Amino acid sequence: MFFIPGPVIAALTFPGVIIHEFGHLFFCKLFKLKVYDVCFFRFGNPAGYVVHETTDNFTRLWFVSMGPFFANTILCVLFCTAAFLPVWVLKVEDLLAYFFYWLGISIGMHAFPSPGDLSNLWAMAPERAKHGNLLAILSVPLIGLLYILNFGRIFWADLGYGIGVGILGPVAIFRALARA
Amino acid sequence: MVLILLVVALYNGRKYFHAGRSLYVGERLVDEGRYQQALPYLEETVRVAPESDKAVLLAGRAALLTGRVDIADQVLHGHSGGKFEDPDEAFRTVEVLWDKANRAFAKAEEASKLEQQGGHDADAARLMHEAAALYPQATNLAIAAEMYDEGAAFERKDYDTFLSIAQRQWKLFPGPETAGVVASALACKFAVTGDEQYKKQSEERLLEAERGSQQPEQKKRFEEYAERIRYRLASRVIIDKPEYDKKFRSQKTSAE
Repeated sequence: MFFIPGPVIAALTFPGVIIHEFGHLFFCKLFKLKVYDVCFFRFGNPAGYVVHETTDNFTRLWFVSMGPFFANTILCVLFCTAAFLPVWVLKVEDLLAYFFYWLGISIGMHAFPSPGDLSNLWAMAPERAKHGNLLAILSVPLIGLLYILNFGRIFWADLGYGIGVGILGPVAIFRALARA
Repeated sequence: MVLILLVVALYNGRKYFHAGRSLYVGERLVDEGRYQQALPYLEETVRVAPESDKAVLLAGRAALLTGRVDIADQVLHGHSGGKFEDPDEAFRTVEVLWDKANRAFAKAEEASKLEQQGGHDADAARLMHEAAALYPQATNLAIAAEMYDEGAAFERKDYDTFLSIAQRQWKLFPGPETAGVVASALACKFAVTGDEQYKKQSEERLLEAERGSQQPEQKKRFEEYAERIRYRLASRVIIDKPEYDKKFRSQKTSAE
């Protein structure tokens, strides 16, 4: 295992950081939560952030915290699907396709919610789950899994996730299209 | 911004989506053993991506398993001059098929040379049958083998077999060439039996062959064999082309 400083990784995959932070900002605006500060990208730790008003509403908090995870994942699949065939299957030398594949993987790599996002959710989820909140019930195992994956970042779990989604997503889409 | 990039990515990828879908459809059809249907899909993919190992090997396999050596040759040699980075199982499958097809066509070429020499029709037919058995997907080899059987039957004076094969070929591939062979076989039957029915039928087929021979090359060929068939019908003497040439055409040439 080789060590590359986090800011270097973030710089190499900066579009993913920007999309992630934009996701937070989008859901804050959607649920009318006050935003105090936004940084889409910087050379530091964290590479980006959105400081916003807290809320007792679990659904709002869930979307603000988890929204980027789903948005980044979906965008990763879309960009990689657009570039998957020329890069992996057809072996066509198309620089634009390689650029979009890098973009897709970069976005996918920054899908994981930060430990801060997860701890905010974890603070509410078990109690809401006890009261029968379906979203909270479903969130508990997902938060647990994302905690583990976050820890796995030191083993490149985030890159693994980006590549996995960027390969398996398009393969699943094209296999489904071939059957259609 | 992201949306614009996504639109550009999808727009750039659109030309590959069709090729990719064709590849997956072709792959599925190959897995199901439907090689004939798979081939057009895979050819379409190879047109966009001639360097794709997967597409080229699948297209080559489908082409070889449908007897289309010409297409297999085109796609396989269009890929880095026939070189593949990773000779995996797919490559080895195609390699075995390609080798088999090449050995079959080498035998077919040998058979063709023998047949052209004259007097070796039985050996030529045997070799052509071996070629057809080695590569059964190439239906043209099986057809050629049957045509060579005609020559072998003529050589051993088995005119019933000669006529039966000639008629079968004429039914399968109606045209001036096959009609001419039927006329020749009927002329042989007339020569040995004296039955006027055979003569009448032979003349009918000969007329049909003449009408069908429109191209200069066809006309030239027709004139050559029609002369020999007419001689056979007039004299009831059966001689092969080398003998006929020796007896009549060499004299003509020397008289000129």
